[in-house]
Parts: sequence; structure tokens; C-alpha cells
Amino acid sequence: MTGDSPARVQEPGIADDATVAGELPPVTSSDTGFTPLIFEIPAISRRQFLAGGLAAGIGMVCGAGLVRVLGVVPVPPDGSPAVAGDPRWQFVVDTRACIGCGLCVLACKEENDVPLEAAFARTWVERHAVLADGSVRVDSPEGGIEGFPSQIEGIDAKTVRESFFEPRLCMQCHDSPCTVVCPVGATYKTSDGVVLVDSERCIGCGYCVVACPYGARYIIPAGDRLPGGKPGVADKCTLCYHRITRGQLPACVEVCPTGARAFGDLADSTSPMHERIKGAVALHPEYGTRPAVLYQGPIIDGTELA
Amino acid sequence: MSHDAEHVAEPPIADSGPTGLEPQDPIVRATEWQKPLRRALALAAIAAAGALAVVVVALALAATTPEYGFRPNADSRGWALHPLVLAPRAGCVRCHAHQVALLDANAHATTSCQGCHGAGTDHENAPRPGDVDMAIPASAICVRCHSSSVGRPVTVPQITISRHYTEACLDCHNPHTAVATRPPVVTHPLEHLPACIVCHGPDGFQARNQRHPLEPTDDAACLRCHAVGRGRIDVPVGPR
Repeated sequence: MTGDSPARVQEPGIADDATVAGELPPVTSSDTGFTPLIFEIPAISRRQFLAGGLAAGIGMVCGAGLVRVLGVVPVPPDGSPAVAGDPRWQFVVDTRACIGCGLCVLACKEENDVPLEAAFARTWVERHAVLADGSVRVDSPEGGIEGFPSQIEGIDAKTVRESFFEPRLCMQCHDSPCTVVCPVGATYKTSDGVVLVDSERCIGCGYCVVACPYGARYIIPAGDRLPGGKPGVADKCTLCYHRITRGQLPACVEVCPTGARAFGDLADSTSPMHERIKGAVALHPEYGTRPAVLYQGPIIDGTELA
Repeated sequence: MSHDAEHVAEPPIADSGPTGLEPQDPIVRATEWQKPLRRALALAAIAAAGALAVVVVALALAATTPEYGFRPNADSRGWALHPLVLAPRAGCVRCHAHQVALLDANAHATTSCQGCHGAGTDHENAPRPGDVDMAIPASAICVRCHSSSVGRPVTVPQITISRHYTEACLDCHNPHTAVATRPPVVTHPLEHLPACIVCHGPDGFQARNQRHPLEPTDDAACLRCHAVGRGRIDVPVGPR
């Protein structure tokens, strides 16, 4: 072999018989005893075929399990138990204390760069009035960002039997419909219980917007104010995740002049929230979403109305 | 399949004894017992190949298209890194402890500095006068809470703006002390005198409160606030 040209050295032994490089020698199973290029497909029975298919299927299922165990492709952590040591954020709204100043709405828009129009709100304030005839009127001019006019439009104040303000925001549900319906897994729940939207992953289909029974979501319109950094994706209250993870209160809680909005960490045994949540109830518990945001005082479904 | 395996998988151990089922030829016998084992091995190999294929595809996807992986940890970190807009209250107290102390001593103690003055992080980062000044709130801030309104708890002091002295709240009210400086009342007779503005106007006496508007106006407008019964020096003097 040493005397051969370099090109020949590269050739495998069997190619020595080839007359022209690149041309395969005629080989048959009868003269060599094996077939290097053509495999004879063994005849298998239907039973063998099905058994092989079943084995391959079982193997693939096991492979998928292995992928999950190895964490090759992470899965959305919704429903996973809270990580030990993580905070347990608790938000409580007291409708008896709310005076409808709307500073919370303003602060939220300012803090999170939320578009100023009422249709795009992470939080808003509603005014509920029970009239003398028992009917309920709700108004929320511009989401309450400028506060409230003294009268409900078209309603004589004398006919109002009872009225109160109800601040609204994302309920951070334990069983959140928005997370379930998201077709691309863009909405997820953090280990400390906050439902967030990955705006890089969101495709803006809007399914979550219609799935949320509390109306807490919207699609970010094109413009200068982009909470998640880009338009055309879903957005909602993050509990001011950048504030609470720095030990600050959410912006709406920070500016609330009456303590109608309260926030704390239930994992902290010294937190005053342990006292605050006593008697607090979920808004629309019949939706079955197990909201983490709780309410005190009269609320929308009327169960606490006198 | 399994029925087959059970049936043929008789191990060729000595104690099985010479039975009618045992093949006479030892070579044939060996092949017979190895057949189900080989079959099982082949199926195991197929299963392993299937599992391997799934793992390889998943690894390839994860390596080449990371944006298609669920990445809650990376994303929630992103949300957590957003900059603060409302500054921590401690930042206000550092320079404005006097005002905060005043505030904390009255009914406005629960209000936040930035609720009225606006977000303060920019000011905190550039606090020298003229850099980024905080807003001095307009009266619109006051009436957010203190205008009489359907739904507002009666525990909050409320005014009907049209019946109040003026819409310039801060002319009389100090929001940090929650105390109103009531307007001085007219303590001299009003009969046989020219219009108020002649003596008290821009060319006459200066109002002590320099923020007070001094545009030419009629007596009725002046007396709306400075009439007896509304002022600080509330002694009934002279005819009204």
C-alpha cells in the first residue's frame, strides 16, 4: 500500500478490484455470501409487525417520559406546587374603604407603561349602585383614571339605595382559565403564584382575553406605551412583579390613600395580611377559578350587600 | 405473542427430564428455547430505538430552537427586571422628612407622596432643583377624594365644588397638615366705600398670601370668601 498513490491509500480494500474509481464492483449474494448494499427484507408475520410497532410505541412513550424527567424540553409549571421558601403573595381589596379617587388606575398606567385608554387596563375601578327598585347600575368612566363624577349618568342620586366602589384587577387565579386556554403556553404561573404572560411566546390570538371571566386581560395596541415591550400580545396585571420581587408594594397599593388595596406575603408569619384576609371572599367563587385576590365589604355579586 | 413465549420458553435444564415435549436433537433444542429470547431482545431493541429517537429529536429541538421551549423562569426574571417608576417611600423621606412627618401626624397619614406628586424615581435620580422637579398638584388631585360623590364613604370629608368658596384648594388648605387657613374676613364697614379692588387690588394693599389671584374682580367675588361667617377673624362687624 505504501507504494500506491495517496488517493489509492484512502480506498478500502474491496475497492482494489474496481476497474474505475467510483464504479462499484458487481457483487451478488451468490458469489460473496453477503449483500453489502441490498438488504433482503425478512418476511415477518402480522403478529411480529404489530409486536414491533407496539414495542416502538412503548419506547417512544418512555422516551417522552425521559425527556420530561431530564428536563430537555421544559414544561409550563402551571399547577405545580409552590416552591418551598417562595413568597405567598396575597392581595386584598376592601370595597368599604375605597373612595373612588382612581389614583391606583393612574399609578398602574404610569408604573407599567399601560396604554391610557380605558379599554386597555391592568386595573380599573367600578362604581356599583343599588337603586330603590333593587336594580344595580355599574359605571366606570374611563376606568376611573380621573376619579368619578359626583353622579351616575342618568341616575337621580335620591334613588340610589346603596353604592360602593369596587377596584378590579387580575385575580391571579389558582386555576386560571387563561393559562389553560393559551395554545402556545405563553401564559404561565410562577412558583410564587403570579400569572404572567411571556410576550416573546404570545401570538396575540386573544383566546385568553375572552377566556378570563374577570375581564382582566387585553391585547396591547400599537403605540408608545408597551407594557411587555411589544404590541399585539396579551397583557394583564403582573402584581407589579418588578416591585414585589424588590420588596416594594404594587403601584396601586402604594398610592392607595385609604388602604382599600392591601398586599403582603402570607409566607411571612409576621405579615399583617394574616389579619387582613379574615372574612375576605373571592369575587365570583362560582367561576371555580380559585382567585388569589380576595374582597372585603360589598362586592359585585351582591352576596354581601345588606 | 406472550402466549407463544410462555409456551416455548421451557428452559433446557437437566431436571426437566426426558419428556415427550423435549426435542431429541440438542442443536434443534437450543434453537427452540432461544427463539423467544431473541424475539424479546429484538422487541426491546425496537423499543429502545423508539425512545432514543424521541430523546434525540427533543434534544435537537431544544438545541436549535430555544425560543420554542417553555421558559417561565427566564420570562419571569424579565418581568422582575423592569425598572421602578414609583420610587420607594424611603427615598422621599431621605430629603423631605419634614413634610412626611407633618403628613404622618394627621388624617392624610395614609396617603402616599407619589399619589399626589406623581412618580418619583426620575426625581430621586436627579434630585437637584431644576433637574427633575416633582409636580405641585393641582386642585384636581384634591377633588378626586373630596368632591361629594355617589358611592363615596361618608367618612371622607366631601365638598360640593359649586358651593365651595373656590376651586383653588391650595390657596387655603395645606395638604401636608390637612389644615385650612381660613380667609380673613372683612372687619370694617362696607357702606360708602369704593369697590374692594380699589384699596386691595394690585395697586392698593397687597394680599398677604402672594399666591392669591389679584385680577380685577367685583365685590361679590371677594365677599364669597371674605364675608363674615367664613373667616379666621370671625367677628361680626358692620353691615353686610
